[in-house]
Amino acid sequence: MATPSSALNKNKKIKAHNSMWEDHNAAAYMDKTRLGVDEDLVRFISSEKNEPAWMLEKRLESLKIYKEMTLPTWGPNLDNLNLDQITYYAKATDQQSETWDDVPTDIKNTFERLGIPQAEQEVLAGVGAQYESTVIYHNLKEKFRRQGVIFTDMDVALREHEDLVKQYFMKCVPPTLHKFAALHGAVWSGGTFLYIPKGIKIDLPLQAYFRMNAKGMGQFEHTLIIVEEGAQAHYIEGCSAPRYGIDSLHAGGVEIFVAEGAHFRYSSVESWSKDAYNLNTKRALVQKDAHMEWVGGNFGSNVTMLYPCSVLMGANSTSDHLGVAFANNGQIQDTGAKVIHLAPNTSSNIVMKSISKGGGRSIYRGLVEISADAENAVSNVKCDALILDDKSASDTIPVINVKNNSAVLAHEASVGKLNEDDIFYLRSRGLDEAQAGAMIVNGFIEPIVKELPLEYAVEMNRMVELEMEGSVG
Amino acid sequence: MEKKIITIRDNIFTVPDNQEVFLLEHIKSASARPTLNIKIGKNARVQYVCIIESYGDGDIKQKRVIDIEDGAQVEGYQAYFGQGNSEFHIDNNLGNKSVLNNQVLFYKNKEQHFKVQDNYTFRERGASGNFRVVGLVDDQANIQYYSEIIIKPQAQLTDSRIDMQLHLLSSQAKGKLIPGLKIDANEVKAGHSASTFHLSPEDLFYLRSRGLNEQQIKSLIIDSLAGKFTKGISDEDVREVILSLIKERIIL
Repeated sequence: MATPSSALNKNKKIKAHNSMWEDHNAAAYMDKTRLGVDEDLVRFISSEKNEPAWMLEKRLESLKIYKEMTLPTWGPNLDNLNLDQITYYAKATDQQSETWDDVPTDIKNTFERLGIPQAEQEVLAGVGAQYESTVIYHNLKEKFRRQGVIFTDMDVALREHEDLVKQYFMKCVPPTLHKFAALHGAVWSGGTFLYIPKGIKIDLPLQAYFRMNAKGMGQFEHTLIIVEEGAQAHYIEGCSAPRYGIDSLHAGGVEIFVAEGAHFRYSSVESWSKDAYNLNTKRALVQKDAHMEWVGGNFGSNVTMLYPCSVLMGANSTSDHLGVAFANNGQIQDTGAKVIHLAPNTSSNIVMKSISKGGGRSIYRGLVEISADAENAVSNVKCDALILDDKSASDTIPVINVKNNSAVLAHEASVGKLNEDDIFYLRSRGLDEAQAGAMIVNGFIEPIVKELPLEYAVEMNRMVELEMEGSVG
Repeated sequence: MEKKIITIRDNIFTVPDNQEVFLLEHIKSASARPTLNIKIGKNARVQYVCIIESYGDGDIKQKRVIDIEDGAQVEGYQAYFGQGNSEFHIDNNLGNKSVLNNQVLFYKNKEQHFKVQDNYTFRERGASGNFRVVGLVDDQANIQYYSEIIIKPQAQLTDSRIDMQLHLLSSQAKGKLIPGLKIDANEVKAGHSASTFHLSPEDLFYLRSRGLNEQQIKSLIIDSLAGKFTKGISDEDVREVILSLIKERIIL
């Protein structure tokens, strides 16, 4: 059995992991692109991808909305974000790889450090890895192909399954939602398309791994997931990016359609560069008797704005939101959840944990809305925060909007610090202070981590250990 | 300490150090003072009761600032029963090792709009506070209640909590609660909760089986909340004023 100290003695692995943020690959192709966004760029992206006319129209309409909208008021201050200094489109490779051997070596090295091939071969059903704006590697186990499951990148989906894409694209995250949704609609590039046919149940999780690489690079991948009636699946994606001096922007969009009686789980571990703005929009429309689960961990980014949203449209639909955020020096982790109860007998459960350290600020910002038609809706929200030193901060801003008197709604939150008695006990068992702190923090986030597949849980625990270095004492 | 009962009449009111005082503010018209600053001196012990009975025919917008000096202990009671649209902003500032326990009870009905922003700012070390908000919303009334605990970086070793409970008494009543925490110190205890309340079909069935009709059941709930709210008020006359107001306005 591993002793506590041996279990935590992963300095070598931590160093390797840290290099994800410190290293980046030379990106010669960047000279082909330019800063800022305008109609010419939007037309260029669309023509590069040989998109149908309707998609170009959607992009141009989104660009118009983007230009008209002001920055969102829901979330942290974004005054320091210079939207004119972002590269909105870059293409890393021209050809799609079918097998791991075809992936270029420099790209492969990065992914190997992130552990993707092993995960893909041993545990996961498929991999869609996005490098910059172009998906370079995609695979899906043969048996799922035979069942009619479509797991591919958005560019291929738009070519080969145009009707499906047209039916659902930007219907769940409309460009009018907020300024970054509109920006996303204008310059989206790459991403994942997942279609699970009626009644199909996939036991193994499907995975995509995204990575921003080039300096000042924006990434706007679009994830479109359609889970048909009675189907079940679990999709995971993770993000990491190297560290740079110029702000990067990630404004991805995730749209999930969960049909009647379907169950879907979306998990993500995000560790974008600590210079990046991560302004992601994730939303699910959940129909009658269906269930949606969000499991997320946020570690990187300068500023994160991420509030996965479940719109409970059908009677008896339910959602679970589980999340962890770690704000370290200079970081603002503004995360939370939104649930909109529109139908009778809907229920939601939100559990959020945040850790602030070294001057970081973690913010839980949530919305639970019970509409007038949502008879007998039930919602439980619980958020806990740990503040590890006197330079750090934590805010909790839960908005509870009730328009039906049959609703049962409970919100509970607490803020605290590491317990000194616990630290003392663990030190008496031979751990140093950082190890003891990491162990306690890992215990604090355990209710969420245990919902992740093993390799993601291990990665999240390692990230905590990495972030906790030098945090105590 | 000598206890005095004082009715507030000026825009700035100061409780001297080490005094034990019962403060009463009773608002009966929209022309009441729009702002009031209450300064509570060091080590003073204060019960501050604010009854908003009526705005007359108009709408009302009021601001209160309550500065609590080091070591002072304050119990606050705010009863909002005024009719018409209203907006209140209350800033409570807590000094070193001060204590503030605050209770709010409001009842809104018809088409009233009611908006409150309560801030509890912990400026110094060792202060503590418990803040409880209970709201009853009937008919087509629409309320927004923001209550925020703000803990400044130097306010270590503070202990605070907000509990908010909303009772929607009709199918068209609406409510928005935001119990916020903004914490810049690490050695603190802070928590909040918010909940909505309604009787389950089983509870209703039981109460009906005991011979109570819907109005009587509603009255029973309100009676119980009012009893809880007024329990700690030391002046019996003031307690009676609040209870009779509740009877007059709510329990018809």
